[in-house]
Amino acid sequence: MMRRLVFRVVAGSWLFGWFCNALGDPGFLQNFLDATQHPIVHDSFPELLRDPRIAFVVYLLPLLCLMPLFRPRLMWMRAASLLMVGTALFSCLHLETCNDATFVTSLWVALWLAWFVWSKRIDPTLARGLAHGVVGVLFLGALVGKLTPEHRSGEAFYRLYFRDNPAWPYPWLREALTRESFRGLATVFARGAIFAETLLSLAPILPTRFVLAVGALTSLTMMVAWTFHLASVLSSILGLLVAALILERRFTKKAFDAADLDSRPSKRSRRPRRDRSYRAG
Amino acid sequence: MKEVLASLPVVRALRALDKRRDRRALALALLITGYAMVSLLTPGWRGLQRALMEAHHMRPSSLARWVVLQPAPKMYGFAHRAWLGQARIGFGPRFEREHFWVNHYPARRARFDGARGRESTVAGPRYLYLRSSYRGVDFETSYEVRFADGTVRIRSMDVKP
Repeated sequence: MMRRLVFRVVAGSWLFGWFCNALGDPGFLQNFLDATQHPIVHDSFPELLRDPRIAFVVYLLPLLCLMPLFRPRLMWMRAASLLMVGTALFSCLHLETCNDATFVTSLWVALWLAWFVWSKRIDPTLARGLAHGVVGVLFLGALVGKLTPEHRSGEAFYRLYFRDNPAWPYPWLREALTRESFRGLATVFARGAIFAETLLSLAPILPTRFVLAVGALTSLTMMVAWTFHLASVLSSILGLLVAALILERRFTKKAFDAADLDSRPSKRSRRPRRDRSYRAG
Repeated sequence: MKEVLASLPVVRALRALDKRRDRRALALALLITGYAMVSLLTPGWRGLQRALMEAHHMRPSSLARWVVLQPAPKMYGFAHRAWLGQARIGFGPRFEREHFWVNHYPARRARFDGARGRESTVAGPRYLYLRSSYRGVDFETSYEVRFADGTVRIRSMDVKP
């Protein structure tokens, strides 16, 4: 039962993140349709990693994972988890999709999910620890990249998200604040982001609830402050943290195995067992 | 102190791993540790910084390096400046004056995502100049982009370490 619940939470958030930017302008579908009309020729990449038609098909393949989401049988869940790993890895490598952090977070979360559904017996302590490890390594990479003067001073944040941002509340802030205060606000946000990423990169040594609270608050702040498109990057991570919380709350002492997957007992197990003890005696 | 240490998720997981001898879990734990080491070594290792910046510029020195480094979480990191236009300007005063910033993978601007159909109707090549910086180290790449025969031809013009 619990394995299915965890699968549904993680795979559901993963699929939401994967497809939430599919539509729109610009969205993945529009980009792929445009790219198939004008494929890229680039010396550093083989045809397989340049062909936009292949990238498009690979992007759509996880739609097949909807089936085990609604009817989570063991083999379907296992096949879906491998499909998620494969499509995310390929999307990380393909020239048309390699830049999108959605596929990096999706890959790491899918690796955890694949381990989870392929394990015969799950130790919830181990599963939770590995989930924390995945969250930690994802935010550690983002944090280390910001340990440079351009980010620490707020210059990068100011240029990227504040100075020319036409979305509310930035035009209003530009009008309401002095140039120095507006620039200073960017520095505050930059250091806040570095602080939050530091906490999240320490996930392996922090309690699940705290990591989930910081992760949810940071994600919400970033999406409201900059762009909802970040949901594609953060959704699978949040799903993984919710799964870690489920594992912490319900299964801190007891391991559960593949038998837990059956919602209904089989006909064989419903029959009253015959007492065979007399044979031994 | 011992109790606090024993309650840490990572310590509890390591104990469970030691007890259960789950090979797949060990493989995942080693993968996480390996990529965490990549991140931890980045601030002090120039070669690794350059390799990561090559990935951000979509011009890996080998396919194997691309495959190994792409799963490394490096989003929203480093400082990336870019200039895109129809003139060959180099990294001179015009680049310093007119560059814009990109959050990561600045070379994606050479792809003209979602706008290739429109851009293909404009005559002449485009030039993309990229400069990524990390802790005082700069990495520069310039690309020439041509729309020809229904394709987007991206050619690297030079690389400066």
